[in-house]
Amino acid sequence: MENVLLVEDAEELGELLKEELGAHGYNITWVTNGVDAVIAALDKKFDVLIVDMITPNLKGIDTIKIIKKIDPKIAIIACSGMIDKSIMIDVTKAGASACVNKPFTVSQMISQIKWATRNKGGLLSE
Amino acid sequence: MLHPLQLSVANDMTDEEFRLFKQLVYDECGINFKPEKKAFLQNRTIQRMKATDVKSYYRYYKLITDANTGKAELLSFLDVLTINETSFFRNKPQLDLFQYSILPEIISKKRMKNDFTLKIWSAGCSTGQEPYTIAIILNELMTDIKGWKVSILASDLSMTALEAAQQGAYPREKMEGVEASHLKKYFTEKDEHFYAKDELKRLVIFDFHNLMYDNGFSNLDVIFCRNVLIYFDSQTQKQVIETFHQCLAPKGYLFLGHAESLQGINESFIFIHKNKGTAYQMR
Ligand SMILES: C[S@@+](CC[C@H](N)C(=O)[O-])C[C@H]1O[C@@H](n2cnc3c(N)ncnc32)[C@H](O)[C@@H]1O
Repeated sequence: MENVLLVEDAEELGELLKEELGAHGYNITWVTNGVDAVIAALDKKFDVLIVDMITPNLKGIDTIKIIKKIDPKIAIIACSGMIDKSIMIDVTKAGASACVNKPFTVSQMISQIKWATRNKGGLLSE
Repeated sequence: MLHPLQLSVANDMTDEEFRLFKQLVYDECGINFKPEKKAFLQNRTIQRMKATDVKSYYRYYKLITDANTGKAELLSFLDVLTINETSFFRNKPQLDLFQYSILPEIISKKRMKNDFTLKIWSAGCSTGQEPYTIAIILNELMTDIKGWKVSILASDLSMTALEAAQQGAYPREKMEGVEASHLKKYFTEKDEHFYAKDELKRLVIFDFHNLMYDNGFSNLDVIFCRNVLIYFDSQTQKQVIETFHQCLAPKGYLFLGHAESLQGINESFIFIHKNKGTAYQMR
């Protein structure tokens, strides 16, 4: 069973993802801001990081960079209400394997998780 | 094995960590840390991390932002970040303008109106030298001061500075700027320290106050806020000056530090300039 760290400050979406992904066999740790995500990653090993790009205190991109430093092997999925090219490039450089546009369905997210865990090191690591 | 980030006390703050703390400090008290001040912010943060036995920047951030249990440590954190540099009779030309032009005018107008109250606010009073200086000036100028209701409200964000202010005890080297006759008249000397006498102390009310928040003051005759705004960006300066504007009496006066000005910040004040002393008066 894969450990997923979910960073989402929108309460309903966080709640929903935790429940639905949990029902699909993922072990979800849900936090609402970047600092809590970093602390969680320091305390426990995760396979997947799902991170909203706009969260309180640390920006999504910073959260990705820091957690990537803690665990270079973690699979990262960036979510955003509007992913434009420049964000896409930034998060890919930072080590994300997938970008998901909001809104998304649970099954879309699950396929992204599967894709991301297969490309763990990020798209840039050959 | 612990990840290096677990032990950031030993590490330099990363840019992400710096941005995180910088934003928090800005939101909490308006102090704007420029990138070149990173080492200062880092050193002071580490000082508090050691005191609280927290080993990583992120955990410390979490500690001070906890809505329930973080308030006290947040205050201690902001406290170590403040620069409390101050002195008696700082910026003498400005105080001369206050003592010999502005104050006499305020007083005579009030006497004519049979109004014997005087309210002055020292905002960002640090360790008390500014409000005690004002108290000396009032005592010197107002021979009938006993018949007045004088309050010098002195506030600061730093609890340690406020405690020192309240105590009103200063080592000899801090007394530079105070005339020998005033030293004798307004201070008691004991064990190499000078203690502010009751004549000064009874005029001053010290209180904790963060300039980011409302103060409940109104109808103030004069506000001193010197060498505080320099730590704020222009947006925060605007906001603070606007609250000053609200709590000053009509035609009230505002004194800023020599490196501070209202230019481009607020149009509701007239600039006064005399013998190198500067002040602002509400239109
Ligand atoms: C350099 S001292 C100036 C002291 C005195 N006014 C003078 O000119 O000598 C600046 C003071 O502003 C205080 N300060 C900084 N930010 C503040 C805030 N947001 N609210 C209240 N005081 C603040 C600091 O704690 C410090 O004591």
